[in-house]
Parts: sequence; structure tokens; C-alpha cells
Amino acid sequence: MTSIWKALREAGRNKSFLVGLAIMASLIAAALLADWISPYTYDEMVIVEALRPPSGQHWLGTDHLGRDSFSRLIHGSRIALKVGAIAVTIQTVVGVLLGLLAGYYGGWQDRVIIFLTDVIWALPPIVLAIAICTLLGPSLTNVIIAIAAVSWAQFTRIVRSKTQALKNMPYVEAARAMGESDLSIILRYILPNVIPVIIVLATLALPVAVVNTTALGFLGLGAQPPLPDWGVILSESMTYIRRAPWISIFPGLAIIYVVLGFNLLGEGLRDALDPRLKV
Amino acid sequence: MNPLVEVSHLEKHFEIRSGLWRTVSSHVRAVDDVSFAIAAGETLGLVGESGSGKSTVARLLLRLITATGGSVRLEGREVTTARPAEMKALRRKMGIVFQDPAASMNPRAKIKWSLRRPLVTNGFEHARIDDQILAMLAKVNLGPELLNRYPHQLSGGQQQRISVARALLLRPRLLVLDEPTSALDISVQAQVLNILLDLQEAFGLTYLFISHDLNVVRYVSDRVAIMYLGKLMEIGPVEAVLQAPRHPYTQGLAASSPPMSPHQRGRQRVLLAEQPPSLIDLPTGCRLHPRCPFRQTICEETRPELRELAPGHWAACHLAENLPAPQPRDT
Repeated sequence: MTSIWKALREAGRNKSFLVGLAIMASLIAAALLADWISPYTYDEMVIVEALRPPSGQHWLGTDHLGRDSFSRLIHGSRIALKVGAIAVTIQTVVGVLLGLLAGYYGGWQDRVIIFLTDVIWALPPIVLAIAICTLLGPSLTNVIIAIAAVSWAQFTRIVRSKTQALKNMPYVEAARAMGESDLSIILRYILPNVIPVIIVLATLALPVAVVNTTALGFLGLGAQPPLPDWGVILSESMTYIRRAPWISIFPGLAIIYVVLGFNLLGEGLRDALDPRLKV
Repeated sequence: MNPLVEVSHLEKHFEIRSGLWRTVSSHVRAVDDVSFAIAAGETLGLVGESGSGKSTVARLLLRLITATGGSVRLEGREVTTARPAEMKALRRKMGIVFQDPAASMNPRAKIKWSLRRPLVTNGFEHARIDDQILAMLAKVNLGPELLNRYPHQLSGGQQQRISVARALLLRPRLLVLDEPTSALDISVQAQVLNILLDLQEAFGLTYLFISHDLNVVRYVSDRVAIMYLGKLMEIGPVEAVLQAPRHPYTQGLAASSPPMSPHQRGRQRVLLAEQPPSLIDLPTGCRLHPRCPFRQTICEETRPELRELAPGHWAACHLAENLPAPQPRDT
């Protein structure tokens, strides 16, 4: 196993990793600098300017309420990345903790946790997320909860099998023989050796979280208008798709851009950090 | 003299589960009713083919796995049932070195970290930790420049000497060496073996030396125990057991090990038939009987117990007194 920094340097020679990195950087810049980049605010309505095609004044045109599409798109990246990042953080922490527990202790802890992952995996994730959002009510917080709830299981499964393999390594047995506690062994000896896998999984989970956020927004279960969530924009613009296709096309392209960027990044990282994960 | 380690009727059975409800369908008797003792300051060699249970014995001694039955005592204190606080104290008296030196240290941590952990976790005074590490490194002929490297940047011999140093930092009384030189080049083997012998003298250590290499065992051990399919077959002073084995299995092992000198090539050899049977479906009576050239009816029916055939020399064979005289190995 190579060290993380060495692997990152190796990833730097990987073209898909670099393209992914550039896309991620542009997205983060757009989200952070949204207020400076966008020429208008995302909710400023000028009804007489409604449904204008792209022009010098409105780069991506305007929507049915005369709001600037480019400004809404840029502000939308903030929602997508924020919700995605928080949801992925939660599912990573929960999934990794459960995976370490199940893999290290085995026994009934393992059986209970694996049963839970089986239940999650038996249901289609988006249907489960819709159910959770319907139950909790539409809001971005509930979108985060729903997405994390349907996606932690893959972290648990992979971390568990890694942990099972690592816990029988001589250096873990040596640690136990010298009096290290279970907690110390899990945190100091096993977790650092699982982190490369976790980084890859988290990078690949982010685009899924973004797609799910927009899907829930599209269905009216997530962000609520006038928030410029890409899913909300898509659902609002559906009615005008013949007359003003630009309102729908650009948020669609933005979603593709996010998914493509993070998948390239994740695959580049995977090849560098742990090629055996390749399916 | 009281023994440092007393192992009595030690057993480890692994369950094999199968079927829809994962019910226990059979057991692997990895270690079955094994008893021996190690005196303070001596080296007991433990020999057997792979699957004989010798590494399982090592892990049971340090309680890295839980015994199914029997007891392990260190300085008279029970290891198998010790409570956590007492176990932590007992662990300081026992160290272990594994076969694969490359896998014996956390690959993501520098050597310094791996050597500090045993001292930090056992509450040693921080100010003195680095001095203790440097002193121990010197004992295994390594310099401080290795401390900032990662395990994979070291040679196999260096890795194994670091493992030995780490095991000795807590000043244990017993060091279990689980095939410590099997993964090393022959020249590095000798180097590590000699360091181990020097350290034993310097610290008054007691060794349990596990190996399948009779020549290595002979070089380091005072006494030797032979294991086969989870049972002890023969135990006694190393010269007696290896030069004049009383158990057909030991005779077979000795015959299959390369001779020390080419002049012995023509000697009469005891050959064991075929492969060892499965640990799940063990033979009745003596476990060796399907492979033994001397087997008789009694061997298939009755399990032989260890019997003292000469002072300190025990063998578990019904026919030990009536076997053809084995050829001396070295003359």
C-alpha cells in the first residue's frame, strides 16, 4: 500500500483525474463566489423581461418570471454542493463507523448491521428517499437526511470487508499483544488503512447525492421555490420547454457537469489509491 | 525450578457453520489437549507441518484468540481467564514476533510511531521513551536513521529486527517467535538468529520458538516439542528428540529434512505415506496411523498418551519401545 501523498502525485499524471479536479475546482469557485459572479440576484423578477432567449444582457436567457437564468444556475451550484457535501459527510461517518464495528467485532454486531444494510439495499434508493421526504416534509434539511439514509450502506459494506481483512494482519495482532485497546486498534491501526477507500467512495457518492437532491427538488419534496435548486428550476421550466428550452437545458447540463466531474475525479483517485477496487 | 509458562490440556476448536441457519456442522480441532511447560530462560522449539496447530498455540499463549478449554499460566497466573486489567499487566510480560516482517508493522506509520506505541499505551514516562527506543535499536544492531522511514522502505531483515525490538521494549519475560526467520534469506536468517540468542542472554528471556526448519530449531532450542494435527507427539531435549526420535512422526520429519552433511545421504529413512488427513475428519486412535509405516491394530483403536521414555523425553506412541532403532542423524 502506498502513502496517500504518493498516490496523489501518481493521480496527478492521470488525465481523467486532472479534468475531474478542474471541474470540481470550477464548481467550488462558482458556489463560493456566486454573489460576485452572477450579474443579478437569483430571485430578482422583471416580468417584462420574461422568457428572453440568451443574449448579451442575460447570458443564459430569463425564465417565466423574468429572472436571470445564469444567476440562478450559479446560485444553484451552491445548493447542490452544500446539500451533497453535508449528505456525503453524514453517510460517510455513519457508514464507516458501522462498517468498522461490524468488521472488527463480528458476531451479533455484524449480523445486526448487515441486516440493516440488506434492508436498505432491498429498496430502490430514490423511492426510499421520496418516502422519507414525504414523511418528514419538504425541506433541504430533510433532503440531506433522506439522501444520507439511503446511501450509507455501501460505505458500511466495503469498510466492513476491508476491516475483516485488516484485523487479522500481523501488525494488528501485534498491537493487541502489546496491550492496545480495541478502540485504539480500530482508530490507529485499521482506520488509517481504510481511508484511501473511503476517499474514493465519498468522491463517487457526491454526484449521486447531487442527482438525488435535484430529483427530490424536481418532485417538489426538496428545496422550495424561489430557491434556485436545479431540480426546482427544471420542474418550473417544464411548462415552457417548447417556447424557452434554454431554461431547462442549462440546469440539465449543470447536473451532467457535476456528475461527470466527480466521477472522473473519483475514478482517477481509485486507480491511484487502490486499483483493486475497480469493478 | 518453577516453570515460567505452564500449558495444560489446552484446546482450540474452530466451528464450521453451514446451511441456511448457519448451524455448527463440525469442528476443526486445531489444538487438542496440549500440555507442556517452559522453564525460565530456556528455549522450547515447537515443530510441525503447516496445519499442525503450532501458530494457534502461539496465539492461545498470548490470548490473541480465546481458548476452547484448558489453561495457560504465566508465572503461575492464569492467562486464559484474566480480567482486562490483569490481562494488560500479563501482556507486558509476553511478546510476539510474527513470520511476515513486512506485515508486522502498520504500513501507514513511520517506524518511530510503531516503536513508541507499546510504551505510550502502557503509560511509560514520555521523556524517557525515545532513549529506551534508541537503546533497544542498538541492541538489534540498527541505527536511529531508520526511525523516520516507513516499513516498506526497510529490508526484510531490518523489518524483522524492528519487530523484535518492538516486542522487547516492554521487557517481557517470554518471547513467542512464530517462524521469525522463515521469510528471510538464508544469510539474514543467521544474522537474526544470532541477535535473538544474544538478546536472550542479555535480558534473560524465555523463548517459544516455532518453526518447521529442524536445523534452525536445533540451533536455538534447548528442548523441542513436535506437533501433528493439533496434538503433541513428542517432547524432550533437542539432541535426544532430533538425533534419536522415539516417535515415527518425528523420525519421518527428521528424514525429510535436508541432512547437515552429504555423508548421511545413504542412511535408512522413515517415510510417511501421503498427505496429512483433514483436521475435520480426524483418524481414530493415533492420528498418525494412516500414514505410519509401523502401524498395528492398537494404533487404530486407542489414542496413545505421552509417555516418559527417558528422563524428560516423552513420546505419544504405543510402539515407542519396539520401533526399529533409528539411525543417528549426525555422527
